Amino acid sequence: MSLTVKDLTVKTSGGVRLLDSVSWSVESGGRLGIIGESGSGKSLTAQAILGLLPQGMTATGSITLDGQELLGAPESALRSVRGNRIAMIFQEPLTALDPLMRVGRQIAGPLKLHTTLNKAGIAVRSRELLELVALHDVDRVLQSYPWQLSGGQRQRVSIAMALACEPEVLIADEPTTALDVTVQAEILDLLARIIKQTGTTLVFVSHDLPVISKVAQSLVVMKKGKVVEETSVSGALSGAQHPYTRQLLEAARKVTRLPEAEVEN
Amino acid sequence: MTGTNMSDIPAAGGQIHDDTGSLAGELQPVSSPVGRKGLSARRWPPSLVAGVIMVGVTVLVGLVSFVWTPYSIDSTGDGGRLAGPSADFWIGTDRLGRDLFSQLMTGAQSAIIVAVAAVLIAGALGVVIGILAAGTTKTVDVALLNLIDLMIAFPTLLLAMLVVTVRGASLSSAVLAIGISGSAVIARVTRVNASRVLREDYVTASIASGTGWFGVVARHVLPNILPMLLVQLMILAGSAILAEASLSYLGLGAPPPAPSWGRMLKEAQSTLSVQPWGAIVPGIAIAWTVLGLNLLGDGLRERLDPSLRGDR
Amino acid sequence: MGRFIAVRVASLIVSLFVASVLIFAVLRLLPGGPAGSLLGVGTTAEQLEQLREELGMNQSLVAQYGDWIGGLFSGSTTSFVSGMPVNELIASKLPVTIPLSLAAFVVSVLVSVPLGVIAGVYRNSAIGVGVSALSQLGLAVPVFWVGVVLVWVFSLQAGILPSGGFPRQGWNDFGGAVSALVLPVITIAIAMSSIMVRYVRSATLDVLDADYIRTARSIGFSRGGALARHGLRNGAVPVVAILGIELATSLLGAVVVENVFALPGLGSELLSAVTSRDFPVIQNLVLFLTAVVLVMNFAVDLIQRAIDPRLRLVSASAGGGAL
Repeated sequence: MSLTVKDLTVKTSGGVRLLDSVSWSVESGGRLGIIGESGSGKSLTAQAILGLLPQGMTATGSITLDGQELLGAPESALRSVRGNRIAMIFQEPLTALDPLMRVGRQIAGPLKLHTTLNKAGIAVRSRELLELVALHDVDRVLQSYPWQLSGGQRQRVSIAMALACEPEVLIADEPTTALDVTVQAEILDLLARIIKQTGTTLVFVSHDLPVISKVAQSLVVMKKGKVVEETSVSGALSGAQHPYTRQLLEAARKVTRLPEAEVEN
Repeated sequence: MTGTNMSDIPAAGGQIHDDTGSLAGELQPVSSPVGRKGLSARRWPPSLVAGVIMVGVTVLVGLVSFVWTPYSIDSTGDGGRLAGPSADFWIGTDRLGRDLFSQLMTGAQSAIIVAVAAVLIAGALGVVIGILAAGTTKTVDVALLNLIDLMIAFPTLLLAMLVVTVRGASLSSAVLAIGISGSAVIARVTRVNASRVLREDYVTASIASGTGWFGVVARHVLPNILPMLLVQLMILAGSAILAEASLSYLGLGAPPPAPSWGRMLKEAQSTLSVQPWGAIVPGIAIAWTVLGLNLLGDGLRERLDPSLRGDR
Repeated sequence: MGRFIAVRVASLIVSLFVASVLIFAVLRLLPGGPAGSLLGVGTTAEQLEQLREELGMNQSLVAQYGDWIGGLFSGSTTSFVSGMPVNELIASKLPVTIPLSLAAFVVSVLVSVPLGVIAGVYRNSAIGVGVSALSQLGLAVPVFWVGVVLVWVFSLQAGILPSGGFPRQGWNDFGGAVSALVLPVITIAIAMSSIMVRYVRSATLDVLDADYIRTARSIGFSRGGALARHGLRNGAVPVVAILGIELATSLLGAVVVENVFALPGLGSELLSAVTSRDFPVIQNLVLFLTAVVLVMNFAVDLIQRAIDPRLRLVSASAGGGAL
């Protein structure tokens, strides 16, 4: 299942261009990273794919999932895609989940919408999902409210919800930014493992090159609403062409999370 | 409105959310192409401008009334009784033939006096209680917090009635009750903000370097909580004027001949069918001033904390 | 839950006790006091002394306080002015005040919830801005002025509703009683709705912007579906929190508005007691009204806990806050 974005332009109601002719494509089972600083439009691209732009913004261009045009598709068609064929994970796992609803009911949401499972079937599938994201204390987690879980546990719940209907594409929008460094690594490992296991296509949005390099193969570098470079992760690490990509790389080296050796590799 | 502590309401409404996502981990500070609201554009929010103008008009009218009114407020002169608006008597006369416009102008005096005095009492009392709660022991804090909660639940109007029962109806009784009642809200706001300031690293550093308790309060706490406090005091001034108007309307405010919008309204109510302006115009004067103070509070809040955008 | 209620009830009782002490203190300790203010100027020392004796004011403060609370529960306290037992007096006024404030409360909720949601959803369009502006205005306008204007329009000009008073037969004259309460109810409801609309609007804005709504939409819920699934409950939390304030506002609004419309309720009774310095009536009535406010806050606490599981966790560890 390939996801192709072509000439995607997003404007505010005032006519300001937030995204300017963004184009990229990811093949079935591929792992694409989108990198850029805040305000570069990387998250907006992710929202546009699901047709969930903030009110007042309009998108033009083309977004196709396996040949099916999503941009301008009727809302009902988009709803059957969201959570079913394309799912999304967000940055802030605490606020992304409803604080007043138990985890069990929240995970059941996409299953109720997109599958014909009955109550018992949903219960079985929910447990499977929590096992998949390595939340082994299943009963407690299902009965918990999101704020009773740790940050890492919450993000695992979000991932489980996103994977509930075995989507073809998973969009992860800065899924580890709000987490502690050690938890970040765990979540990244988990994502990498699940993606490999299920063959899901991944679009991973981040401002953090070291993080992206752990999960993505190809890389789209964005700045001020435009794609400035398309490269592979290894290409970006070894000697990028665009000065902005080099800047990102240097910044990453300064915080010493990328060892020199790996970079020169 | 009267009675319950109206001033509490915007306070609670304003605390909804404060910090947006942190920028930690960003590669470099960037100037985003669009979307972020320029701070300079919000320097004078419209509500602040409107509030300053509206309150300014009331204050000006009140000040002018000390030296000049079209007629003396107790002259039962040439306009006849219960006359409608005319070129000589702009909103007409009351049932004794006194000029309503002159009364209206003079009424601004007691509104201003009540607002200023109640704000001073509530401010002084509330800040002291709030800082005591924030800066002393846990036991004191819990005890004061419970007292504050009880005071907030205890309606201003009832307290005013108790005070009037004992001290008699007067402007000072009204001011005392309104000020004490309002101090609870100020104490709560002070406590929340002061304890936040006291947890800051620079305060700890300052204490470590030998600054005394009063030094910390004077140098760090007060300057930092002042903006929030100003917003609350503006809103409190508005509810003080409303409360005083209610008391005067009920006959529990300053006795005649002291001018008061609330009593003007009460006196005009019985002759409503003949001369409605006597009842309608004082209400508009009260609403004008209170709205001005509320807008001033909202505008200050917006100016001091642009993230609120006046939305909440 | 049981432990929480026990703690909360204990805290309510403590609050009531502290409130009664405060009321007592204001009435007894401020200069003036019952005897002096009852007789006024020009009384002889003997008269004053005799009255103090009659009122039991020569006893210790603790004994006086005990007499008050004892009289409150036994019902033996009587009015200075009419000689009627105070509890009976209060009970006789409830058929006016309770329907008045309850109806005002219900009307204001029915009006302000839809208006607040509209003001939030259409925050940038004319209708949203208009509703917000109206509520700003409503907050600034004195409640009695609203009453007077309504009387002018609907009684004096249109002549369709009475300008005040309550039928002598009370609720036996059902139509008369209802029409006597229409304008007062609208008056209080306007004032209350102005406060409520602000809260509902703010809650609506928070819910509309909430991340969990975006999450729900990202898994395939429609906007309406997401709002129904997550928005109602989350939006209800802050709104329920102010219902206590609202109920109290409606009761206190009644105190003022009864005087605008000459309704024989608690508010008129309280005002005439204050004017005639009828101490037993004043202190019992003020305590009664305070108790109603505190009990409403208590009820709202319980409702909030039922809606918001986070509160159950907090108070389980903090154990509530009794004074």
